[in-house]
Formats: sequence, structure tokens, C-alpha cells
Amino acid sequence: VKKIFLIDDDPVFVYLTRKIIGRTQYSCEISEFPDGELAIEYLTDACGKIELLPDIIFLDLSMPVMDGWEFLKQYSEIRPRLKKDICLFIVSSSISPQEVERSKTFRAVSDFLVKPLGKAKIVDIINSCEETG
Amino acid sequence: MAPALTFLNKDPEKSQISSWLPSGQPLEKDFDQLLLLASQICDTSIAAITQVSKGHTFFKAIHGWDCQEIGWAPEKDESTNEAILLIKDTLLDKHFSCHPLVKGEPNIRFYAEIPLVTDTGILLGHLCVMDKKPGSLTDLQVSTLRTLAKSILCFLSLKSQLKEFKKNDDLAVRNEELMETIFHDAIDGVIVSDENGIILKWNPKAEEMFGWRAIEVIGKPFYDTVIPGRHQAAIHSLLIKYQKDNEEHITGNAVEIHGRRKDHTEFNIELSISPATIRQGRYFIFFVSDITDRKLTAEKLDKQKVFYENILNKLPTDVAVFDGGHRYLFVNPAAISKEEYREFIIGKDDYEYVKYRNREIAVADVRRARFLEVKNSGKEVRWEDSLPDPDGNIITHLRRMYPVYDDNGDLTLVIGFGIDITDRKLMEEKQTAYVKQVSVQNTQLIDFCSIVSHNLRAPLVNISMLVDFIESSEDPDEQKLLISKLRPVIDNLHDTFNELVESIQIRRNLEIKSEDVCLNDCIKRTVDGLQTEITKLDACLEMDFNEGSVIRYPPQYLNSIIHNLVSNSLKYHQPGRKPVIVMKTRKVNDSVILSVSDNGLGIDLVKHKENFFKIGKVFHRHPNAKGFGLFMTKTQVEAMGGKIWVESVPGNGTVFYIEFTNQKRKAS
Repeated sequence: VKKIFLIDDDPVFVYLTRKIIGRTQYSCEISEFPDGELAIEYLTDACGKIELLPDIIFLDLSMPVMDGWEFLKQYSEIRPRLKKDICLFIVSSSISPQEVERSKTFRAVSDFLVKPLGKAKIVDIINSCEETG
Repeated sequence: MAPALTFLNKDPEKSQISSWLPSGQPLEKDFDQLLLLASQICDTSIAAITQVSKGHTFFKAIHGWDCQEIGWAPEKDESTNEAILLIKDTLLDKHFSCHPLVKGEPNIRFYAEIPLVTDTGILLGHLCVMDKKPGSLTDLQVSTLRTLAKSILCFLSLKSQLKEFKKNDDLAVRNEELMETIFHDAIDGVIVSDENGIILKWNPKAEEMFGWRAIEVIGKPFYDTVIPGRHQAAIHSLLIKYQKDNEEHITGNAVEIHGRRKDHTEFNIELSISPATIRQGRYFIFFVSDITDRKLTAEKLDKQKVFYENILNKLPTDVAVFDGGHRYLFVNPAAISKEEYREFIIGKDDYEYVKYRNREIAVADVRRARFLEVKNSGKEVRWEDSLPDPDGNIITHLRRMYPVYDDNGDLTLVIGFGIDITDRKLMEEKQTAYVKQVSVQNTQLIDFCSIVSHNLRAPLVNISMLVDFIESSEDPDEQKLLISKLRPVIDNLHDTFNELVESIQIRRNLEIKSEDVCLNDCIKRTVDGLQTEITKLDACLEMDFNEGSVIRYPPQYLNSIIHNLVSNSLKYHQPGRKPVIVMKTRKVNDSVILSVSDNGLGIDLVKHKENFFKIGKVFHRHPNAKGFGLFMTKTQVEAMGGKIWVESVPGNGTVFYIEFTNQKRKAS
């Protein structure tokens, strides 16, 4: 069972992503966070507990309270303490090259994905994380 | 005779005559024959010419014995000068018996002397005869001896005159040679004429200059020969004037006129005329210099001067030249346009000039400091200075000053340049404003791209995904659910789109009319609209518009701004705390600054500063937070040239400030 975190304030997108993942052959356990702050609080609390940590994080950039960039900054700080290797993907509706470049400055970011996400892409991602995991 | 002698002794002539028989000189061989004659006439073995001085007797010449000096002199009254002294037997004479030549060799027994006195009564010495046996002299012998004495005097006089003549003769020859050399080798033409201007002498330089040989012109009138016809009368009358005038009154002033050569060509000469009187004769000496070259050089220099002055005077750049003491040597009209001022400043320094022009002394201080900087460092100095022109406009100059050294490395000049860069300055300011404007527009463009990327694309992606699902779904219930999810996405897209269109309209609407809007009316409208929330939260609104209660602004913008800020304060209130919203105005110069403060949640500005006023940005987990309000507010403020900024402490509250510009006229 793969643990996947969706950090995104857009309920429609979260609903649709859940549906796509549900259509894959993988059995996944999906958690939702509507902003970066709630997610970072959870991860900070759970960093030592391997069973609570996700395998994959899909992170939106444009969010209220704490946006994706601020999340990445704080995530990079707690990352050495995380007891699990987590694959983190930025999933944004942005097509701005500057944001793609900026995402490369964070070593924690595995890739920058542009919405929408199709089923094939999600299968690829889960497979690639299987291998590295 | 004594008084006469005393008188004569004072006569300067005496010393000259004394030199006929100079004391301290060796014996005169010239007198040997005369003394032989004297001793033969008197039949004595010894004859001598003696001189007495300070108790000593000097033998200037002697025959029959060899002696130069003895420490003895006959004791005589001066009155006896002219008389003959005759000692027949020296041994019988109390005085002479002590004579060294009596006491010792050659044991003189007879002594006689005749004074040598000139026509003017000067005693030069004595003619003596002496013998080793007593004796006497006949009258004939005495008179012959006197004649002989006269001959001696005559001889001395002639000898002296001869010497004098010889001396004069040498001098005359030397002078003549010198004059001749000067005359021949003079670099100027030298011409001597008589008082009528008839040429007497004509030197080689004059020959070279005029082409006339001396023999060709001697005897001809000067003015006829070398002066062109049109000047002849003037020179002639000048000579006539000089003939009459006393020599001393004429100063050797030179005139520049034309000279005429033998071939009738003319050239520029400088002619100076010196009248001279030599041995009662009147002469003119003409000195002639060929100044053709000098004239040409002077003309060339004049041309060059005009050329450079033209350049300097017409240069649009200020030029000033200083000496080593910071005194002005030159300024061009670009530096000082008024000729009067320009003339004043030459030889003066800036302190004198600011005083003269009634300017601030600080101007001179600055310039002196720059000058010293150049002088001390030896390097060029640049600076900008701004001064008001006569019309009060500020004129900015870029100034450069640099030192000029001579071959010895001494500072000779300091040259200053000034270029009026007022226009350039204005352009720079304009450019800076443009750059700022472009940068603002660029920021707006980036914002717009970001809006398109995030706020328009996100709902479109959702719509597209939903449609995919609807199409691929076969379950009608699922389809219905998916379709129901389309509505809010489309509404959101619609809202965002409308906000964007509106904001673009605001930015582009340069013709929107400002009106005097009463802040209290505006707030009443907002309160009416938000009455439900205000009542529900029991919110308190306080107003202080003492420093400006009327804002000149487009009414719809102002209503929107106030509505947004107040509704934000209500929306993000601190739960459990009664909201207090305070609005104030403050006057700063031409602007009115409105502040809206609350005691609500506050915003972490460290985190959100960049995104604060951007579209679609929300900072709180609030169900109604859409992120449109502040974006629109900022657009409405900036479109009218105003500013908006925020201060906030999370948990304490937030203060928004809005600066409304150009409020001078109506704000009260």
C-alpha cells in the first residue's frame, strides 16, 4: 500500500486526482492537506514514525496561508530527520519557466509536473518510486 | 711767497706737475748729460738732482758719485726756495758739517743748489753741485746753473706732455677703431648725414638693405635716397624740426615707415633719428632696421590670435584660464556672456568676482577648493555644480579643471572647462522616471502572466479534467456528480476573468473623472452594505478625518477601496475579540494618507510580503477568502498615482495605508 499526500487547496483537483489514482492497479492510501502549513505541521510531528510518513507527495504551489515555496523551505529543514525517503513532486497549473527553474534549487523536489495529471503519468510516478523505494 | 706757495700747493695742478719727477722712481738716465754739463760749468766733481721729502734727500739723478738716498735734509726756510744755497766750506757750516756725505765718503766740502721751480711756482727739487774741496761759484756760473735748471724743467715738462699726448693718441685710435667696427658690423643700417640730411656715411648693412653702395649715395639727401616719395616731405620736415630743437629734447623714438631700395621696391623699416652735435657741427644719425619679417610675423600672429579667439569665443563650452594663483587670465563669452563682467574678472579671483556679482561666497569656496585640489594633486578634477541663472532656473554644469606645466615642471596655467548639462540632467531624470515606469509595467506584466498561469489556467485544467471524466463515465449518477462540480469551477473562472478585465479597464481608463468625495458618505455606504456582519460581530468603527474629510477621487474607486478594507477587517477578525476598526486621515504635503487599522488576525508579512497585493492570494483559511480584494484595491490606488502599503503583527491586527496624491486644492 502506497501512502500519497496531496497538498493542494483546489478541492476539484484533489477529487479528480483521487479518482485517477483509484483507477490504477495500485492500492493507495491518500491524505489531503489544503495548505502547506497543515502539511508541514503533520510531517514535523510524524518525522520519526515511519508508518505515518508518505511515499509520495504531490505539492501545489499556489495555496493560501502557506504556499508551496514556503512549504519547500521548511520541508528541506525537517527532511534530514524524516525516517523515510519521500518522492516529492510539484504539481502546478503554472507553466512559468521561472517557477520550474526555482523548483530545481530544492534538492527535495523530484520533478515539476504541470496540471492536468493523467493516469499514465501517475502510474509512471508510482512505479519509479517503487524502484527507488 | 709763502702764501702763494700754500695756495699753489692746494692746486690740483700740482700733483700733475709733481708727476714730472715722480718720487720713489729710479734715477733718471735722461739727465746724465745735463748733470755732466753742470759739473763742468761749476768745475765740481759731482752734480745731482735731488728731492727732499720727510727729512730724507733723494737723488733722482747724479753724476760723479753713486747714491740714491740719505737720511738727511738741508734745514731751510721755505722762503729760500728760489734762492741759491751756496756752502763754500761744509766743515765751516754748522748744519752741513753733519751731512753724511760730508762726514763720510766722498767727504763733500763744497755744496751749492738751485731750486727747480715751475712757472707756476711749484718746487720739484734742486739742482746741486758738490766738490771734495772748498770752492765758490761766479755769477756767470750761477746764472748758467739757473739756465740749466730751467732747461731741466723744460725738459721735464716736454717729457710729461709727450707722455700725455701718446696716451691720448692711443685712446683716439682705439675709439676710432671701435666706432668703425660698430659702424661696419652693426646689424642695423647706420647712416650719418649733415644737418641738411646730406649723406656722409653709409654702412655695409645699409648697402645690403637698400642696394646702394656707399659711394653711390654719399653726398645725396637721405630722404631722397631711401624714403618713398609720399613720406619724403614728412621726414624732411622732421629733420627741419630737429635742426631747430635742442638735442636734449629729442628722444630717440622710432617710426615704422616704408623704405625704398635702389630698385624702387619698398619694404618695412623701423627708422630712428638721432641728431648729434660733434665739434660744433650738427649731424643726424639714422638707424634703420628691416622689419619685413617682424611685420610678417606680427601679421601671422594677429591672424592666429583672431583664429583662436574666434574658436574660443564661439565655443559653446565655458572656458576659463587661471594663473598659478587662481586669478583669471581668460574667460570666453560662453562662461561669462556680459563683456563688462568678462573684462572685470581678468586678473581677479573668484572671491572678488562673487563680491562684484553679489553672489554667495560659498561658490568661490567650492571653486577655490577644486583649484587647490588640481594644484596639489597635479591631476584633472571633475565635478558638477548647479547655480541659478539670472531668470532663476537652475543650470547644472559639468566642470573639468586641469593643470598645465612648462618644460621645467612648474605650474603655469590651470584651464577650466564647463559644459552645460542641464538638458542632460533633465533627460536623465526623465529617463529614470521612464525606467521606473517601465519597471512598474514589467512587474505588472509578470503579475499578469502569473495571473494567467495560476488563476485562469487552474480552473481550465479542472474543467478539462472533469469533461474527460464525464465523457469516459458510463454511470449516470457519477456523471451528474461530475457535472455538479463543473459549476463552481466555471463560476470561479468567470469571477477571475471579470476581475482581470476590470483591473485592466482601471489601468487603461485614464479619463476617469475625479470628484470631491466626502469620506463620511463613503463610509456610510460601506456600513450599510456590511450591516449584517457589523451587527453580528458587534464591530465598532471609529473615524478621525480632521486632517482631510474630502478626497478628490473617482467615487466608485474610493467606495470600492473602503468597502474592501473594511470588509477584510471584519472577515479576518480575531475570534472572541470585538472588532475595532479605526480610520484616520493625515495631511502630508499635497497628499492625504488614509489609514485603516483593525485588531484582527494580522498577517505574517515576512512570509507574504511578495504576494500581498496579488490576485488570488489568500492568507487565511477562511471560506470566503478569494484573493480578489487587495489586488483590486491596489489597482484602484495605483491607477490614480497613489500608493498602498501595510503594517501588521500576527495576532494583533493590521493597518493599511493609502496615499491619495494631488489633494492640495480641496483637502481641508
